[in-house]
Amino acid sequence: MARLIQIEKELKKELIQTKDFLLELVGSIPVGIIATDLRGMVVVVNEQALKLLGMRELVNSALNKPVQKLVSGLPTLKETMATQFAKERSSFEIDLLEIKTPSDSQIFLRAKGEPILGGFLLVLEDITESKLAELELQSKVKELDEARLILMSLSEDIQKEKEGVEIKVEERTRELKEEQAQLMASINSLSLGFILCDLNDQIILKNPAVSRILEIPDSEITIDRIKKYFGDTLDLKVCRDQCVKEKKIVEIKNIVVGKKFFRLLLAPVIMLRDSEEIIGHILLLEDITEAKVIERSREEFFAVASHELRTPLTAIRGNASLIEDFYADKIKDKEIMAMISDIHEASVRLIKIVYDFLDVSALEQRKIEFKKQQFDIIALIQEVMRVLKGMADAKKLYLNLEKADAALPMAMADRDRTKQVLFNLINNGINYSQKGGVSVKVEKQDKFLKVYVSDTGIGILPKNQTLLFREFQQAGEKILTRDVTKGTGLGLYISKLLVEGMAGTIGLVKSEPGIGSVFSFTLPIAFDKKEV
Amino acid sequence: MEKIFLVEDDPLMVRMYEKAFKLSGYDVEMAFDGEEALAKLETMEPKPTLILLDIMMPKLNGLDVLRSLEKNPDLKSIPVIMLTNLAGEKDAEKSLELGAVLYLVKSQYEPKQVVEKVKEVISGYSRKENIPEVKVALKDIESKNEKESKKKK
Repeated sequence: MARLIQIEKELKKELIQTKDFLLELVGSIPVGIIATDLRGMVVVVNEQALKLLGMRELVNSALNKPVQKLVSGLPTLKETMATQFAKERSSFEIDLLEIKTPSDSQIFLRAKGEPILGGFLLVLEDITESKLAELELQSKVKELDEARLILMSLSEDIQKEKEGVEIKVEERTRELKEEQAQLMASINSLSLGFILCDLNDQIILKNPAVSRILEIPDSEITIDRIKKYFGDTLDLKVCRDQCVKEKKIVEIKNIVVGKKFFRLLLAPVIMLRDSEEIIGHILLLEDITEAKVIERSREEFFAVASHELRTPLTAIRGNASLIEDFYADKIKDKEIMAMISDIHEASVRLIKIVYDFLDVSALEQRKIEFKKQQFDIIALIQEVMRVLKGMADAKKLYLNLEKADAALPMAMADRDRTKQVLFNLINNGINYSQKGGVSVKVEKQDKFLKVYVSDTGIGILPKNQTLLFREFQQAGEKILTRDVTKGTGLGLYISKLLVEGMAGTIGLVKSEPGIGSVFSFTLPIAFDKKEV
Repeated sequence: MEKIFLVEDDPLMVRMYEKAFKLSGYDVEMAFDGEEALAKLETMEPKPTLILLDIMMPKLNGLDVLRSLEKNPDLKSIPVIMLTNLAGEKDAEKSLELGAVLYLVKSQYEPKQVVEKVKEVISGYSRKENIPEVKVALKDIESKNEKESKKKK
């Protein structure tokens, strides 16, 4: 019996030692341990468990309390535990229990439950670090996924954009090819030689006409070859430099090489947008030999035709004049003398008509070169009036030059042609007046001198005024009703061509039948070099 | 009696001017083309007082005759009046450049007026003058010549 008591004491002691050892072991484990009995009352709990559950109680104060009470801060675990003890106990693992500790920091717990002999074991593990890492990883993965989705979306957009651009590029390429084909066809069809050069004078493009015009094989055509072709007649480099540096078109006419005549035109190639940079130049070459030949032929024809018309007329006029001057005393018959006088007068009229016709033709073809001379318009008017005075006196008409209000500047025009205009207008005034006379007045208007020629003649009906300044017009009622003694009707037309050729204007200022007419014309004023 | 040398190919003109000058008291010699004119002038004694020279002629035209006259020391001093129906200013300019004293367009002058012009020249009125119909800007010729000689320098 004593022995049994001794053994019991020793066993109890051993149990206590084992229990202490186990408790110490449990206390040292870094995880939270809660063991319960079958009723769910806590029989073992370590500090780590209390710490993880956010409890400040001591271990002993937690013993013999329902485990639900310990885990009351974790509703999910509390419910699980309640279920465990209400039903058959089974293993479980609950992750990511998020609790706030008394220090308000968040921790993640993993709770594992395992039925054991005589109770239940609950192990609580702080998985905060790994959970946070996992959450962060998940967050990063989510971000990556989102980024991936965005990238995919962008990629799709880019792809669509790319396809759109490709289509546009294809369309534009086709358009450009069409434009190029049209341009090439146009350039190749030109009768002018066309050469496009870059800034280094290398030929980028030329058409077949170049070879044909210069009679040089196409393969040999270079800028140097062209320079050599023109030789001393043309300094192509100077022209090209002027064109490119001054960004302007340079034209050279009448280049003679052997028996051929050429016209050359250089134009800069300028980028139209932004910088207006010169990227080259174009050379246009024209063979004007035929045109020159025709022009020369026409000029020769005019010279010869006018000469041939004048010569027999001169003979008629001259001989009639000789008879009047030297043989009058030999011709007794006054009627014969009268006829000779008529022959003379007719020839003078005919010569004037020939001159008028040739003048009109030359003016219309712009063959007449107008000189730019400074002259005193008043002196010129006086000169013309001296010539026409006899004619005016014969009809008892006055010729009057009104004094100008202020000193007048010199005119800048062709003096002889101005004289011709004055002669026409004053002569017309005399011709169409039966009484009174012709007055001339000059005044300055801006940069012009304006000359007014007024007569007291028969005047012109308004409806006939539009006929003035046209060929063969006498501003009469009907074309067949004309006074042939008053000329061919070319005078005003010629005057118009002459005045306009000298950069002036001419017109009818006013006219009243039975009262008279006022014509005017303008001429540019001569400016001193200082003024210009 | 002063001698006028008329160089003219057209018979109408020849007869008319011959008559005009003879009736005005001049002796008249004639040639009907430029070559004949130069040949006659070489051997003519005495030389004529004045030459009336047409331009459009066969064999040698009036301007070429002028050039030849200028080169001949015996003939260059004889005053030449161009008597032509070419009314172009360039022809007039050229003639005066080559040494002609006057340029008259026949159709603009009665024969008597031509005689008057000849008298003026012979009497010493030898400066070049503007003709009513064909005006020649002598200043232009002079300034052109000046420019050309400057270029050559």
